[in-house]
Amino acid sequence: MKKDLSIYIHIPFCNSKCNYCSFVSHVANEPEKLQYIEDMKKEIILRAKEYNKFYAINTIYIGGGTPSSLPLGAIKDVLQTIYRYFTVKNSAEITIELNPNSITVEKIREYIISGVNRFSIGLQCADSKVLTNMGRTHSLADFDQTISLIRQHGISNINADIMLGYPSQTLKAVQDTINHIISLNIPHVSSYMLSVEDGTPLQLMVDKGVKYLPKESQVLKMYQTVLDSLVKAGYSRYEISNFAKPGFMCKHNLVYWNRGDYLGFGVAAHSYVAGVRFSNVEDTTQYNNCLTYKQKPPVAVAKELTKEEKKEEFIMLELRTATGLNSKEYEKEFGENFLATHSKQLAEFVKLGLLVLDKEGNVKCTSKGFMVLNKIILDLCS
Amino acid sequence: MKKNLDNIRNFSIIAHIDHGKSTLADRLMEVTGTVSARDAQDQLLDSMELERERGITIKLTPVTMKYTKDGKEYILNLIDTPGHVDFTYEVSRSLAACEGAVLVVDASQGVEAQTLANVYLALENDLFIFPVLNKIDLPSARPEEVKTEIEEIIGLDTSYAPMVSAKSGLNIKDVLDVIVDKIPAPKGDSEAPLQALIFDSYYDNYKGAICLVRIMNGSVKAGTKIKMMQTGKTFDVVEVGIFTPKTTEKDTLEAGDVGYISASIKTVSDIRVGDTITEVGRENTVLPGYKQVMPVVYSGIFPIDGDKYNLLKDALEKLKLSDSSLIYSPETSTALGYGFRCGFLGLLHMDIISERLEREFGLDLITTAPSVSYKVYKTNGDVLEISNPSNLPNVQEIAKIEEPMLKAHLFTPPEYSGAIMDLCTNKRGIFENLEYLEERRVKITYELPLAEVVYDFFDKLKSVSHGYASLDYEQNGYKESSMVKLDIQLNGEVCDALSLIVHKDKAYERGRGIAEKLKEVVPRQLFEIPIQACIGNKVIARETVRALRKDVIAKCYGGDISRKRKLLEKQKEGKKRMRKLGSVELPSEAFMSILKID
Repeated sequence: MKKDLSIYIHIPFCNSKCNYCSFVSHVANEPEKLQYIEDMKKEIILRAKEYNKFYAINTIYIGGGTPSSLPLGAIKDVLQTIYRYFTVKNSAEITIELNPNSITVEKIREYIISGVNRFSIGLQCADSKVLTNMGRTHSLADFDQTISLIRQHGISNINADIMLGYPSQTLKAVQDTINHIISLNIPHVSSYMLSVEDGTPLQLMVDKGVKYLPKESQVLKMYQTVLDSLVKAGYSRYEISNFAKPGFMCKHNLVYWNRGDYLGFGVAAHSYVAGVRFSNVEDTTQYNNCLTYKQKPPVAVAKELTKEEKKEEFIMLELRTATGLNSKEYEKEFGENFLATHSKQLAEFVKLGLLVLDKEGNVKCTSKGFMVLNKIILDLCS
Repeated sequence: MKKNLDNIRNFSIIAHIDHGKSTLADRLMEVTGTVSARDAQDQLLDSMELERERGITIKLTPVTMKYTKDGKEYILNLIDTPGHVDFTYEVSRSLAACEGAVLVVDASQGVEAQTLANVYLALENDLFIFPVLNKIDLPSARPEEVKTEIEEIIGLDTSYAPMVSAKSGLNIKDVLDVIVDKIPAPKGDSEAPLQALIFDSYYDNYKGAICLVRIMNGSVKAGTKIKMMQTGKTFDVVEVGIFTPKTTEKDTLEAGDVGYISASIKTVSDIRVGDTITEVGRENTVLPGYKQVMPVVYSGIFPIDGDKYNLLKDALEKLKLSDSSLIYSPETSTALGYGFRCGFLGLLHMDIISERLEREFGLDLITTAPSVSYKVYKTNGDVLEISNPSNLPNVQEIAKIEEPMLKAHLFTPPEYSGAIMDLCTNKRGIFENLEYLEERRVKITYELPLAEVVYDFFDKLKSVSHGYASLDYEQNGYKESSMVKLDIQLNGEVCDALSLIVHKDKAYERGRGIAEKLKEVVPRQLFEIPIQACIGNKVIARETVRALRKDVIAKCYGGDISRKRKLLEKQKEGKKRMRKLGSVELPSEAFMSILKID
């Protein structure tokens, strides 16, 4: 039987760039976009020759950038190429990210006809001033309209992304945002905190003192509000930054956290197959060169993980989930008793109310623990 | 044949920092053709990189120049001096090797504080001093006023003072002429038994330790069997020579000469500054003024990276070869690991050593707060010398503690005497005397605890007197004092590296200061960390570092684990530089910012 494989498609284009974004994406014209899609199709075909024998596709995730900034027909083209050269399961989860500023009924229709069955929409915040500060070019009304368009086509599996801790964002703005999402009965929410990344306009503004980051206690309150409201409304926190109503967990994300195999297509896309992590070149011209002239995968960095690194990733990724780190699996994979090796630190974390151990040997974060997960991971890995 | 000393002049240059001592020395060398202007590298005599950077002279480098006046050739030996109170003894020995001194005064700044201590030192050594007004070409120069100042404050005749610009080279010959005309020629008998004053030493990688000497009587050459009169050690001379300013070998050094003696001496510890060299079997008398140099300040030096202990050990051994005043012994700290307890001549010396260790040997170091050496009398009759707070016995076992005292002489214009006396009182000083040396010059004498002078006295003195006051001191025995050990506890555990011995009246202030500073620099951890300053069991100050409550919860985007991995690697790297104290992790930088005296 073929093993499960996930596919990530990276679309590095946006209609405009947000102030906080450090991902590989830029504003581009239509010929550049179409060339990119042609190149990506070549990459898909190359990879299919390599992997299709052993793998069947379980999830596809089209992210960016802004996939909805592509011209009509491009997404369909990509997905159909995948269907032709890979075995895609009937039950596959196929997600696309949308920016409410670039949605038309034709695009929604195209996506659904091409097999997309899950939508992820970047809302970030319901407050129009905050949206403007972030450099986003959509309104709350655009978001609402996008949701209703998707629903008119019979799709209910929808995610909303929200960001906490942006300069000028108030606790009330966060409350309003989360209440709005709950009232729309959107079944999945990704909630994460702003991190000021190097080289972004936001970093410049913060460094120059033009923008002030909210206090830690304030951001903590924001997160608590989101957490409390969502839990009360019937969502469960199945991963540190993800909340879902029953039946709406994102299968694609679970693959990352359970260290499943996935292939990334497009510039700067990351892959993890058979214990090897690799990532593609970041530049579209270089990407084109590789595929057109060299006819080989545009890989920039490939690294087979060492046992130590595999252990670290096991800890780092599994602790993000609600089910936690399964110490039996850990022992099976590494031949080492996780609980014994880290007994002293685990005891300390349990005493501080950051972790719990259950009868099945799972190590799980409490909600207090999720808040300081980076530090917990650091202590367990060093 | 008896050598005629008429054509020799031995002199040094005294100047306030920035008044142009090194630049003037460079010009003298150029004008006498000792070095050509083209080869001149700024400030030739400051040979250490550190000196050039800081613009201060730490190490003395003498130079021999030739100058012809009225058809007669003169040998001029310039012995440079360091301008810092840590090195007062070295300065006094250098001055003892001269007959005269050139006092450089900035023609716009006038007489400044630091100058005076060395002027008095020169006068004590019976040197002939004459002033030179420098920077005469600056628009702000006010030579006539400054001349009056020199006459009133110091009491020197300024009628023949050369007016120069060392920078542009103006009137440099005048300085040379006055040196020849006014500074007395040395006295001495080249046929008498050898008597040479050691005024410095240095370490040469090929030749070993080298003595810098002024020959008072007799002569020395390769093959002479010499004896150090203080240590009694004997050596065979391999080579003698002069500095031009590079070492230049000569057949002999005779009475009146300044130069070097190389005698296969392994370490500079065998060469004591101020000692007298004589010839074995034909001994002369010991020259006066020798003092054994003793460290006055102690501190622990630890490598930030514990693996570098052996490198630090090698580095200290190498420095010791060229700096005999440095002493050290191994020390272990629960917080900082393995390191060394080092003794220094003063705070500048301590700074120089730790900076040289970092710069020349590429070490990253933590230096603990400087401490003096206390005499601790135990109830069982034992007497201990304690310079490391961690070694202080329990309070119950201590009968009394004595601390080292100084007799401090402060020289100041009268208007600052009130502020200076306030400062001394605040530093637990005991007033002894106040006298007017001249109309504009007051000498105030206090008995002061060395520990207070070591802490931040100089900076305070400079600030209350606008830089005009100068300090000279001598050690003045030990005195019983209410000293206590101040401990700093982090999360209930004593951090030995932060312990201090302080006077009980100062303990509260110091304790609170450290606790506040620690609160700023201790990174938040997963639990609350109480910081307490304690004397014995009594808590005198308390701060709390609140527990870390949140990191950034970030998306795991598009399967890009590498971002998470990079963050983890970066954090792991940071953790390597952490010191673990019980359950508390402290970055080395936190220690350094606390230990830095401010």
